[in-house]
Amino acid sequence: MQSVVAERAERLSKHRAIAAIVMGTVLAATQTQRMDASGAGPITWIVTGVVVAIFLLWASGLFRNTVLRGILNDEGSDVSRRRSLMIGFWNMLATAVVCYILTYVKDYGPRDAIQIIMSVGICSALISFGVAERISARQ
Amino acid sequence: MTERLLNGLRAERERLNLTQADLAQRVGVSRKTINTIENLVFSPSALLALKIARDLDKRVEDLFWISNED
Repeated sequence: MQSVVAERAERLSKHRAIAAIVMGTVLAATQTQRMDASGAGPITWIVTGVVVAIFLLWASGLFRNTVLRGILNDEGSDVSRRRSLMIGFWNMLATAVVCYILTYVKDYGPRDAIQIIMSVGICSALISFGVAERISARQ
Repeated sequence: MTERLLNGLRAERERLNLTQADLAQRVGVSRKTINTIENLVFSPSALLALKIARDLDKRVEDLFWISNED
């Protein structure tokens, strides 16, 4: 029984890592595409927010049993999660600085700047989490 | 001078003919956590280190030690 749970946790953890990388990449691609158009509207942001929220809830193992959730969110995953949050945070700060500098050479509104800053932060956090988890799983 | 936490987890685990998955299951973590500890990617908490030591029937200081590097 216990080994079945462990195998399931291993499989889910692998799926979660791949899903984080795919999601981060798709999000980055769609956000970049929208920058060429008229920017993301409120509906787009709501849809993006809901998709990210559903992913985070699924990834946290909230709908799984306690043992499985415990293994999915063990110390190793916690380290990857904290590291990716830190990467996302620093990338957001760096992007904000770049956006500030860009205002001297290009005319764009705060909405565009917020979109760029948030996209970079969220995407880099998701991708770095997935990559860290994949690397950790390698023997 | 840099201090690093080293461990003899892999050697001890292999001596007992346990796989990473076996040990992970016994202490209630994922296999990749055991893998990252063995590869010195991250240092386990005191709680996890004690659990591993207890499970392998070793003293924690026999499994984990500090290395001083210049």
